[in-house]
Amino acid sequence: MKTEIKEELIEMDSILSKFDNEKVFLAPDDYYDRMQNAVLKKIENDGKSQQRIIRLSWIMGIAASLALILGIVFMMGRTSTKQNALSIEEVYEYLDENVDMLDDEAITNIAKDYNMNFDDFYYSDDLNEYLEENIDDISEEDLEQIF
Amino acid sequence: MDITDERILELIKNEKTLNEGFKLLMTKYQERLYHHIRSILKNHEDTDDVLQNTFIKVFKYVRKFEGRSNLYTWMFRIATNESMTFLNKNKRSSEFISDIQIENTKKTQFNQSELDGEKIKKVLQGALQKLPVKQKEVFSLRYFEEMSYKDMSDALGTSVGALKASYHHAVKKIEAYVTQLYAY
Repeated sequence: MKTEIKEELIEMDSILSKFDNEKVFLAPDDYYDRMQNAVLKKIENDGKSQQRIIRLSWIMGIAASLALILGIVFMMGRTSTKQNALSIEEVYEYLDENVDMLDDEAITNIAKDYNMNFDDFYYSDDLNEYLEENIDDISEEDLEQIF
Repeated sequence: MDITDERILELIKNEKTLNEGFKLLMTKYQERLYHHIRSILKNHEDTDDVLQNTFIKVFKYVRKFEGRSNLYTWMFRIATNESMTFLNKNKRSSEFISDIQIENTKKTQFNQSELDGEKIKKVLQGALQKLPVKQKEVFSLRYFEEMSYKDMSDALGTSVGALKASYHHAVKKIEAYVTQLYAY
């Protein structure tokens, strides 16, 4: 026992000054080698798990970026499609201006392309107005074809 | 083991010699840490778990160790925290020797002839288990590891005065325990 420690115990009048201060807890034989191996193995396994997590994070990051890019491209595509499409009002305007030159088949095709209700055109106010203004010039046969 | 802490840290901070350095670190301090943890946890199996966890944590943070305290006191604190976490998780508790028990112990002649080396070890083992954790730490560091109060203060974050008082109480409690067993 170190002198300093012993003298302190003597000063305290302690019986412990009479004992040797050998460590009282001893590990089993070969314990420390086994313990070191177990620790190194756990550290190695932790390292592999961390590498797997890092790889997975990379993959998820790339996948998320691709999804974002695709989403943006898709949205831009939809927007530009919308910009190129004619509005229903524009279609009506075209039909109004060109009604003399279009036959029934052409009007039907246009209506189908723009998902228009065929009746919307034929029963529109513009058509009614046209018919009223031109009623005298439209034959019964033409009227039957229209309706 | 003669290798210095500086040399060990040098080896650890180099990626190529990291494992070699860490093994040297474990070899140098494993017995002292084992004894410290065992004095808190009582049995070998629990001590083994906590000692392994301590070294795993040391491995994780040792490259960032700045050297403000010495290497052993830093690891000692990790070992103490891991032991306390283990105790709290497993709701273990010790039966402590109270100050009242010390007062009630008669002053008797202590029959030292009954105690040989092995008996003393067993008696001290039993006595240590009866101490509150903080006193156990202080006693272990002072009596078994012969650490100075200055180094202990760095290790435990407690003032030297408080440590001296704690050691004094721990010694008296152990005496009371030993005297009860072997007095005449």
